[in-house]
Amino acid sequence: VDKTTAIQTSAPPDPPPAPAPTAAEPVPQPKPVRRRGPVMQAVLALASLKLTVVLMALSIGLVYVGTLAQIDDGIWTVVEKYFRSAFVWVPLQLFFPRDWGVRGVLPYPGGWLIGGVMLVNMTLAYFVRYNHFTWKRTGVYVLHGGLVVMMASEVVTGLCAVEGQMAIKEGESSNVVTQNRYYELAITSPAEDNPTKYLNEVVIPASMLQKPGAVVSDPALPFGVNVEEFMKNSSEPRELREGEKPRATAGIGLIGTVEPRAATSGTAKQQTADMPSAYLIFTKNGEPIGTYLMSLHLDPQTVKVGAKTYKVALRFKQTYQPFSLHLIKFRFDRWEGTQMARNYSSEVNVIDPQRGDRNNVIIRMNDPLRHGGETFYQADFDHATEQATYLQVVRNPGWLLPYIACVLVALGMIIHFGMHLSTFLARRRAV
Amino acid sequence: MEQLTRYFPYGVVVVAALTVLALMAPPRDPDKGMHLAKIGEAPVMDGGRVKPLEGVARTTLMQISSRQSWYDKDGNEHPAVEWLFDVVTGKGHAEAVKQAEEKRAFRIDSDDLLKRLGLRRKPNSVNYSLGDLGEEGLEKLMAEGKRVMKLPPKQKTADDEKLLEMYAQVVVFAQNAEAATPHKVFRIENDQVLELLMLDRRPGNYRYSFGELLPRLAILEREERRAAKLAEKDRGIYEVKLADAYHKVQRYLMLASLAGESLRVVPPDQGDKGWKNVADVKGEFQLGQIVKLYARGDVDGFNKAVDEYHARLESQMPKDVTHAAFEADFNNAEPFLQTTGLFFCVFLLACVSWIGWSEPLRRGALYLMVLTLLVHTAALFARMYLMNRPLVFITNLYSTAIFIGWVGALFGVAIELVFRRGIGLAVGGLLGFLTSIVAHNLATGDTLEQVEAVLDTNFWLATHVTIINSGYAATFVAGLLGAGLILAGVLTPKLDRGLYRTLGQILYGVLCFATLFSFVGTVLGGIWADQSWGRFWGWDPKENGALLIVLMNALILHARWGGMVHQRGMAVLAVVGNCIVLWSWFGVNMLGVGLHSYGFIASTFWTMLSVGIVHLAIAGVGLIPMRHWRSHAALQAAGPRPPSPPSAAPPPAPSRRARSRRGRGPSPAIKPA
Repeated sequence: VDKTTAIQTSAPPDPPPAPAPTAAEPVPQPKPVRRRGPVMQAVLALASLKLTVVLMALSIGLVYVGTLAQIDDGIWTVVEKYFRSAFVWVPLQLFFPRDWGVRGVLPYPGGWLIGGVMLVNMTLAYFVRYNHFTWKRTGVYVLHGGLVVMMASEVVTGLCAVEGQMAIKEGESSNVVTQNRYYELAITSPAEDNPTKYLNEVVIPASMLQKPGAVVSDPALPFGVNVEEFMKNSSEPRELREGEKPRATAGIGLIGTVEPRAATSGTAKQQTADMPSAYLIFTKNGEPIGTYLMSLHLDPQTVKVGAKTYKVALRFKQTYQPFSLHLIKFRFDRWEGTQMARNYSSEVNVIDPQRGDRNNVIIRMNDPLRHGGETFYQADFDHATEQATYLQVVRNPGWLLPYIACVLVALGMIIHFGMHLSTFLARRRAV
Repeated sequence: MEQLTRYFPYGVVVVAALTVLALMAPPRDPDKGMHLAKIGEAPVMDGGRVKPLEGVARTTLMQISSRQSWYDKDGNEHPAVEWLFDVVTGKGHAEAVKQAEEKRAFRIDSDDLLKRLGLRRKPNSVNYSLGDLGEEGLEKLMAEGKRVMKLPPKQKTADDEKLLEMYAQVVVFAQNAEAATPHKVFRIENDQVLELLMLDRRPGNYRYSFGELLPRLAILEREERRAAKLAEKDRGIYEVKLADAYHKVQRYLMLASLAGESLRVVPPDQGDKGWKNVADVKGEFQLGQIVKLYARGDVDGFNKAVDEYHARLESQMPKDVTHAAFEADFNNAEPFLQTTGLFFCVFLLACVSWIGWSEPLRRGALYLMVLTLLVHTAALFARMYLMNRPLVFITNLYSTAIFIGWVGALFGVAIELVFRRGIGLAVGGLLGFLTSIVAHNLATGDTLEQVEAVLDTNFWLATHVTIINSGYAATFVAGLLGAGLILAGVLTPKLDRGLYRTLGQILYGVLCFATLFSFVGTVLGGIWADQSWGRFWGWDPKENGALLIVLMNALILHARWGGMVHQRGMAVLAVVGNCIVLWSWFGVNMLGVGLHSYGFIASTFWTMLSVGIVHLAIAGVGLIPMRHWRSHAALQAAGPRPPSPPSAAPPPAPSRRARSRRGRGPSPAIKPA
């Protein structure tokens, strides 16, 4: 037996080890001889690996607090506040049990800021540190190119993606997409010739109704709207108690009211949409018509102005597709002998005069329908009847970018690490 | 001695292989006796899939007893399926009921109440049994109970309440007495629950029979109902354990009637679809007859009926029969239990190899690791066959633990083949062992359960889930290496310069893989989400957890490339990386419950917290200046750092002898990446 193959716990005597600076004794780096102007120094600092590491540490912190924050707040609130913002005040209470009532906030850079600086850092590094192309760096170029694409895709998604829902009953068709993160006040007016036929729709986005005292007037509106109170989320309506004074002077608010509620949190087991309500004063020529209770919980109410009767509702924002889907059948398959879901699927016909019809398309979990720039996903169904489907409708012009980015980054890493590994193994063999 | 050195590694692996084979061999039915193993293989429908009857018994017993077999009072082990037949037929029923009747389960301290029941005060106890009550007392109790029940609440005295409690105890006793067995299987550890049930603590075993629970079952039910009404945040450990004990009773009673929530033991008349619940079947069915023959103790009749049943199912649903039989053998072999022991032996051998007699021990560990991986891999593929999901390693949290151990072991072997210092084996063995422990703790139900609808896609399970968990595994390997480097350096004088740098190289290489896997896995998850509900990235807690791992690994690599950290810095950061993986693996699953309700997830939460603290402590120890490390001298031993790069003093050309043993011993001439 060759004794030399035995494990040695002391340093082997043969060739002296190559110098490796250890953390214990940092080697003083020789100062660059060439003097650089302040601009160049700033550029170098912006392109430095040190900054990269700092940014990564900052993003670890941000992602962590952005996860903890979802215990208390809705996922979308958190996304807007932490990830799609330049700056955020992080409440210290996040890190402790809530009943301790810890106060205080910590200023922290938001997602746009960290991501933006990261992008600058990465791009500058190409020009400053990696400006001499070598084959050895192929992997690094490809990999970071992929990261740029990935960040771009998050920007495109953040700015352009539109999500909505479509509900269709079996045997019926629909082209209405509702967006349950946005709300609007819709006023429908009767047709000139037929007062029972409601055609023209004017909508006010709920973002214009948030502030108490806000006044909305527009020539397109048949009457003005003054905001008394807007509740981001509210309870189911209840009847007024005896002796309780109604805040409304007309409509359903004369007999009922709602209570404000906190917005749904992101980690809540039941991810339900917020149900806003509002007390609104409708005016004609500056004269109040009445104070109305408008709520997502309620059906459209009628508002009489002069001879005309309008239908008014606070509802999820709605858009209309140039094509419609017809639901033939919704299926909910279970594992035999249980109530455990095995699959949900909707069989639909696409009725599209422009692009042509498509018949008997199946939309199911993990298998969406893409049509006309929109993608339709099986999201939910009517749990009571199992005869209506809820589809998630997404328009995201950047949907392909992550696929490209993933391939680029993976490829880059494989090239880079592969080169490292083969050199390393070759060197070991050479010893 | 030389012979011993040469053959020791083979000896290790042969002994281990024979032991494991013997342990994994399928059970044989005795010639003279009931063919329980054979009936255990019979398919039934449970949880939406066909499985062997034996599997139902095993899972239920596991849930009740935290064991997959039961021990009689003489300490002999019996298979779960035998226990199932005993429970269904009520074996030892008379004995259990008699014991239950003698148990002093009624606490009466009111003289008035004693008088009402016609009892006499005992000199030194306030506890009475059904036997003490006697027939006369029982009749009085029943009559009084019925009368008091009708009284309006305000008129009831404390004695009346007590009487009603006793009345309920007797009624529930009578309702469930049929299911009483003397088999001690209910694992109850909580002192308060035991006190409620008036049972003694049994340290080391903590197992009680249904007969023992029976007299105070009504009290358990009442308390559980009270606890269930509490808000989640007000529930403490006692309430959780109470519910746990109650559910065990529920599981037991369901099994006794062979009619669980989703259990269907009556096969369809034809074909393999449409299994029926016992409750929906009128008249006789074959398994029911087999049960009766078991109760009668008719060995020949039983075996004949089992053969007939087997033959019928064989012709009716041959695929399901083969499948169920295979699963029964798989369950019985408990391959992941065998690998737990094997991993530990690998770890132990590798560690001992550092003390002395290094090479034989290290080789022994290596061969043992290969054997372990063979068993583990075979078991993983057996799981795939059983779930009918090719290349899907992971379907639930349990299998993530199993899989991470496997990948960790693969990494260990790969490291070992390059560096040959026992490091890879120690880390792979330790990770395999630890993840097996985690897996055993997660195996609280059917580990081959059917998946939720959104997970029912073999493509994404085989790609995203596999890759992201490989990323977890690689990060864990890096973290363990880091912890090893720190502990070896601080606590022992053995970490010399060569080893220090070798560890740095391994750490770097593993971190590269960790970054690759965690990144690709995370992005594939995003693409799956895009396919599944149209949102590539939603910033939800699980996604964020995965992103944290990617960021952490990338941070370590960039800090290394920028020269901000070296071997020690990487080690410290890699240990912190372990905390992040733990967070993303388990931590985020707890967020939904909310940080304010510790009770429900108490044990997991505190385990996680303490593991996290240990990690941070090790990382903190790593920050102690190196001159205080016990290995300081060894790290300096190679002499002062040469002032110029190695090119100034090129190493001598490798000799032929050195080349012939390429890759074996540590090679200090490797430059850092």
